[in-house]
Amino acid sequence: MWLRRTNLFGLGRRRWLPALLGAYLLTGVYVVRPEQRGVVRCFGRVVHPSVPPGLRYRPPWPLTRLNKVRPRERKRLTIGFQLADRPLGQQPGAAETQFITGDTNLVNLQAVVQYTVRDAPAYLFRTKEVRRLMAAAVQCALTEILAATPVDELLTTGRPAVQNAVVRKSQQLLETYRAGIQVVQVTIRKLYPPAEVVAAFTDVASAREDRARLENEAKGYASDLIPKARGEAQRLISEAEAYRTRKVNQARGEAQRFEDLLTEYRRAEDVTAARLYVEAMEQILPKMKKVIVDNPRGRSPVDLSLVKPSAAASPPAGPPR
Amino acid sequence: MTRKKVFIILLGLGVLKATLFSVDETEYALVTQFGKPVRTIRTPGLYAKWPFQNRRRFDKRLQTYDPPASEFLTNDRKNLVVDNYVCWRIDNPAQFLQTVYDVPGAENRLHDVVWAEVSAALGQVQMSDLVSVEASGTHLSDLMDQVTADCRRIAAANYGIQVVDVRIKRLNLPEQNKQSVFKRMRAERERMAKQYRAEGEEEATKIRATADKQREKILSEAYRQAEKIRGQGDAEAARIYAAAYGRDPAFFKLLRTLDSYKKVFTQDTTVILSSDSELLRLLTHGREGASR
Repeated sequence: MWLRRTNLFGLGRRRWLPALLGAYLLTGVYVVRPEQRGVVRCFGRVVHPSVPPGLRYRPPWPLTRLNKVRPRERKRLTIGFQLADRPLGQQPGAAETQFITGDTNLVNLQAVVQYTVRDAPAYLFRTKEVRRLMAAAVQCALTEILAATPVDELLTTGRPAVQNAVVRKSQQLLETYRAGIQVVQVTIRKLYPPAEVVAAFTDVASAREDRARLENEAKGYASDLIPKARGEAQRLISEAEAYRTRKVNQARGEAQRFEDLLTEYRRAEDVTAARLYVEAMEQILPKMKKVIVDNPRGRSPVDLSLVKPSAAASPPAGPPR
Repeated sequence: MTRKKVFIILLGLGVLKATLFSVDETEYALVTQFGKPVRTIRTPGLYAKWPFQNRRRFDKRLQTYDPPASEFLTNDRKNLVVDNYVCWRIDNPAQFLQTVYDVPGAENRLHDVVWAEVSAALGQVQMSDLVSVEASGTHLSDLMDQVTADCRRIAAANYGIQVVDVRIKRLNLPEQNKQSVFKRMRAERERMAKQYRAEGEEEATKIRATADKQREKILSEAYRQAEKIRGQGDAEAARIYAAAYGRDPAFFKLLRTLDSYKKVFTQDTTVILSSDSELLRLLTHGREGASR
């Protein structure tokens, strides 16, 4: 056996050894893709912090060690929940999601942090558990900012401001730690009051809506009432004007009739008067019950028993002539 | 011959391995000689030592220690549950090795130091300083800056540890206090809801009252004006009548009376006529009566 090996050695010194060495040296070839950057350490020391994309070479392991990072890739970190599937129906507990607000209320929160690697050597070598540190820093920022914000602001309009403040504050902390990370965005995914008080909070939102609704109803009432009143007012005035016109025209008509008649009357007074009188009698007497009383001299009492309201025809006259 | 060469190669490699060593970016190396530390290497690279010397590695990186949450008391006797985290790193490997020996040992000591400092710091502030919507007052960050400084001093002096940062990750109230807090929150919300609804009612009533008032005003104005117009009409008509009838009052009375007879007398009316009347004279006295 030993003999064969030495034989091999004797034979291979020309063929096997250089081949093996060549193969070993070839392991130092590597590819950096367009979205990646390489970090090369030689004997532990960083010799190239950012290898650009392409086909590269480095002295093979264990002389050098290679890491690759994706600088523009947005990594995600969750606060208050897990991205992976949770057992159905299990909501995150208070320890994970609850924060104190500035007005000593309690509120539950779930957020997503997006970050990128800004300084690859720092990200790789400065911190032992980067994601754990990040989570802690972001929670610290959230705690401090929420402890200065009232709960109503948070639930209504304050979300963007809080998110921006958390980005700033956590970035500040991470700069202190020199973690090589850039916090890109913090998104508050869910913000809700604790289960024990959620009904009361919802009622406040309903009350706000009620207030708006009551005001709108009243405004609707007003906007209906006023135009109707104006229309009514216009109608009253128009009717009055119509009345005025009617009255005046009526007067004018009657005055004109009188004047015309007067002119004729002045021309033949007696005749016109007699005619008018007789014509009028012709009109009125037929309708009425008539009692003709013969009274040549003076007046004598009239026997009113003759006057019978129900009878249509005229009763016979008094003492015959 | 070849066997000797192999042997020499292997021996050479062995010597190299015992002499040369690399120190990574992420670590310190402590060279010890028979248990005693002789050299601390902080910069990465390739180094050499005597074969009889030993090399120990220590993590140079930033460590995150997350102790479990504890309850603390503020100056105004309010209970707070505080969840800290501590960022630290080994600064002096030799001292570190001699005092705490390893990371769990370090965490043990750190726990006590941090707990003591946080307890002391919180005991000097009011809860209303820490949790407040006002911009003034002791802020959490200022408080923790102080705690960090104190911890840093102690750890550097005693354990060869650099405490980079001590921060509060989470602040909460103890479970037994939460019920009263929830009660208060509910009461507060109820009050707010009531107020909103009352405001709505008030505003609605105001708007309706104003609208009613305006409507009254519009209508009464219009009524007043309408009456005025009607009055004008009546007055004008009266003037026209007077002007016309005034030209011959006697004739007017005749006409008007005759007109009124047409309206006044109906079939229910009974009239007693004298045979002397102008109309009937022809009837009762014959033709000679008419000439009279």
